Amino acid sequence: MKKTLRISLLTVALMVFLVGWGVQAADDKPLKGVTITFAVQSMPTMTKAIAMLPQFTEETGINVKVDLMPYDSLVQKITIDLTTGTKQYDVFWMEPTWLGRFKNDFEPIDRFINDPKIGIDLKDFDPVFFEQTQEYDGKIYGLPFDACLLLLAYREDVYEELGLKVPETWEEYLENVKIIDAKSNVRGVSLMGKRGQPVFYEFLPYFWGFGGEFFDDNMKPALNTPEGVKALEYMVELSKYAPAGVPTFGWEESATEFLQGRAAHAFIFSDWVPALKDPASCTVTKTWNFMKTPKGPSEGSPVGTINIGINKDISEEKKQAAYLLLKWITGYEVQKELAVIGGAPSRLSVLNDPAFATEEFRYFKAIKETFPIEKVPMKIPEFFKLNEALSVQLSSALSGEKTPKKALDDAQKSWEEIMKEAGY
Amino acid sequence: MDYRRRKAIQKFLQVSVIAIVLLVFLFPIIWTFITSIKDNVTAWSMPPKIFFSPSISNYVEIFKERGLHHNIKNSIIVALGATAISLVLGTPLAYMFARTRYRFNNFLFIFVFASYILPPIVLSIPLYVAAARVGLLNTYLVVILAHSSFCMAFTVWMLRGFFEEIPVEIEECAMVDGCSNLMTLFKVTLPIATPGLVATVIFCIILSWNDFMYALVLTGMDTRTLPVAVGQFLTPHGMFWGQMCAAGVIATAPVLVFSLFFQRYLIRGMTAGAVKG
Amino acid sequence: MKQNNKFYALISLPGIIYLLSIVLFPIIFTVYLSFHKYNFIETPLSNIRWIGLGNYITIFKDTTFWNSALNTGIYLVVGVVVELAIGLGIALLIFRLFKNQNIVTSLILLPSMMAPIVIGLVFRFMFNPQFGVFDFLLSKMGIVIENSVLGNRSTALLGIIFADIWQWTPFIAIIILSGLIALPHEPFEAARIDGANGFEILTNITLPLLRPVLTVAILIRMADIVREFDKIFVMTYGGPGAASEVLNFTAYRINYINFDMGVGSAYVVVIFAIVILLSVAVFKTFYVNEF
Repeated sequence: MKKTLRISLLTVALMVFLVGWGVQAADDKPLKGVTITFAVQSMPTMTKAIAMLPQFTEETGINVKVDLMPYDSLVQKITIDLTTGTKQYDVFWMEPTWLGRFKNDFEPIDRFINDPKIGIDLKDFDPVFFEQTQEYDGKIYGLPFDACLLLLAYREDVYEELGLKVPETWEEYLENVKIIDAKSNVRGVSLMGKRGQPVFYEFLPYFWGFGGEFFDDNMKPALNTPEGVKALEYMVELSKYAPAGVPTFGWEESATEFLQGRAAHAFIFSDWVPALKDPASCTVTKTWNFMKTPKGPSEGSPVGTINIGINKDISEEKKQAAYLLLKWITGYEVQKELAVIGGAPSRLSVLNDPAFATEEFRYFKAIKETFPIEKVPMKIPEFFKLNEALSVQLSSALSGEKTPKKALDDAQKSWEEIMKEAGY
Repeated sequence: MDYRRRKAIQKFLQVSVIAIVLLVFLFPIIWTFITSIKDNVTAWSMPPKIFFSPSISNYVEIFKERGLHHNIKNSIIVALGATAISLVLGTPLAYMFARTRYRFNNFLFIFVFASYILPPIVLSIPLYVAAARVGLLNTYLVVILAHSSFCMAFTVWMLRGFFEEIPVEIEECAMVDGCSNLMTLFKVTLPIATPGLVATVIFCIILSWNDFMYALVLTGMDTRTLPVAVGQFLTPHGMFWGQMCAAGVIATAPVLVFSLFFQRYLIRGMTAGAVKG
Repeated sequence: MKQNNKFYALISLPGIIYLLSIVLFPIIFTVYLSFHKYNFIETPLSNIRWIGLGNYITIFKDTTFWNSALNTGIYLVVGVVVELAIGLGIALLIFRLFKNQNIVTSLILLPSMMAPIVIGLVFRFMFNPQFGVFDFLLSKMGIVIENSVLGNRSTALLGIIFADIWQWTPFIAIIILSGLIALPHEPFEAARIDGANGFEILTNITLPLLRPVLTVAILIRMADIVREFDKIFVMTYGGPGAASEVLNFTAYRINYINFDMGVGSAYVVVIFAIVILLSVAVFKTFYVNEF
């Protein structure tokens, strides 16, 4: 009796195993042997994800060839590759601001996402965040690998020492900056003032907070509005409480001021978290935190979200394989692993995971709070030109060459030209 | 006695000035080296710490974690390839420029000059597209071709000067003895021009070794050269001054070796054409 | 003689073909694009529109161009003059002391041989207002520059020129030194017998004799300065405002950031023309020997 039972159990187990194996061979790995090429920037979380790739290949049979490269190289290569249709890369890093520029080169992935078999549940993302970062003209073009939010970092210990309250408005924030600058041995704030992307992103939270919008309803630029001027005046005012040399501060320098404990506040992209946690590069590892971006009459916080997108010009088989890679690398399992080493997950299931309800992951709260006010600066193809034109003027204002009003007047003029040329 | 003393003082002054000049010009390099053996926190402290416990951790990291040895290998392959092409194709051209006075020489020389001053953007996009069409993208060959554009210009410019210094009479003697033109070139002219060839090789290697703009667009993960890798340490996601400095030191090391051991050739090469006109 | 022609043609042909194919095509293509309205991202190459000199008119009407041209001019004049002056001084000193090249010359040459990208990064680090050694030294000397050297609109370009001078003065010095070594002795002995002092010898004999060498030095530096990119890209990105933006950087920006390759190509052509014109001018002014 016992023996029969044992044999039958064994048989059942064997059958389950065989069937399972057979099913897997027949259904779960239909794309076995397909090879896709993946172009991404080398950064700590991405390197970690790449190291986990063998797992993906084991699960799906899809081979992934990775090209890790520095940021400048990546942007230029992807641009040339997509524009000339050379199809060197099947899956790649992209940023929400690229969506307009490359809308004809990216594959919309709605049909995969809605597929009952391989689809995913979008409820795991904050709706505002997802719409802002992944959609263009109502279609979904990618999935977020890392939220990469521009968050306001502050020093909890300095706040405690001076009995300050985390500010909710820009007014309160400026007060805190002034108090810290006067009463403690750290400077009030550090700003990214270097021409190019840094000063542009530094300006955005103030601009949106004071009620500025880049365009009016007719897509006419609206930079030199009273709101815009107030925001730039505010930023220039802030820079008085920053360490010397703000106009030379790129992301690196500005973040370093904070990391080295010389400034009490700084806007830092969340992908700096690994550095913030590393005692070899940060002297305040235990006492920093992010806060929800303060607001003025209005509010807004820029995202640089790192998306993964698919090349439109590749075969259907490759597209499917690429989608599976997308799904895997932005999925719960991988994202959880990345969060451990300092990634900023965009999945709410990871952010709310009890495993992260510890002191070490105190900054998850600010990430969750910031999602609903996330904005992509703009997604129109002219973004790069406009960004460049504005950043020159912002940098002039910070260096004292022009008044905020004059700087924004000049920026308005060049924006109007660019938009006119583009046919708006 | 007085005269001698004045001479001695003068000499002392001159030597000190030279020493100061040397210090000024080597200071950033020395500073880079010092920073490379500090950890990030020490590197960022002001006033600079003179006494600190040196660590080689930056060097360990750039090799172990960043795999810089791959970049070094790539740089060597690219530099040698570009040099080989430039030498093989450029030497005869330089010889022609030195020995003939054709009317189109000047016209052609403008192209040589042009290829040296060519903005990388002009060449890199067509090259990228062409390479992608024939499936050569991210191979060494593409970068080698790009680098050979300016290396070859340099070869022609430099070797022309060296060849012009060799008297035509020597070649004529050889030809009277029954050597063909080609044999004369190989058996007489090139051996005499050896210092020039050595100088050219070194310069081509250095030029290719230092290039950033072409390599940025034309290299892939497996062919990435050293300067691009050095740029990688400053990113929007973190700043690794110590590692960057360590990589900078590594990138400078071969140049230091060259200038110490081959300086005779180097300086001859730099001034070929310049000094003799 | 006829056979010789054939020989030279045969041996140089592969080189000529290679050079033309790798250089001529891109150049012609650039000139061609400069007469068209063409955005790399938005317009397919088959759809570009001929607009004659439109791009050039756009450039010359744009204040950005004139600002960049002015900066390039300042860079050129300050850079070349200072590098020549210091280089000449160093060369004379080394010549006086050692009569020939030695370990000093090979060490001093090092900056000119380093990768420009490394130099840019190192100087950015050293110019950092917080932990850079230059600003530290300046403040020790009692000099306070608002917003630090690279962040101040009057000094940013000078900071870059400073790095350039550091990088290239040794090169100039060594070229001049080799020129000095190769000079004939007779004129100097004659002058000494005539009782000329050191300064007279320098201005009346040494410098005129060095003319060909100086020409080459100026030529090389000019071509390099007009094409300067790496240092500016890393150190200031043209800022603050447009205070350190030079022509080649503007060209990069238009080509690679805006991807307005029509206007960008026109920029490249203009820069090219400037380099060639300057070279010819320098040649005609300084160079007396046959070329």
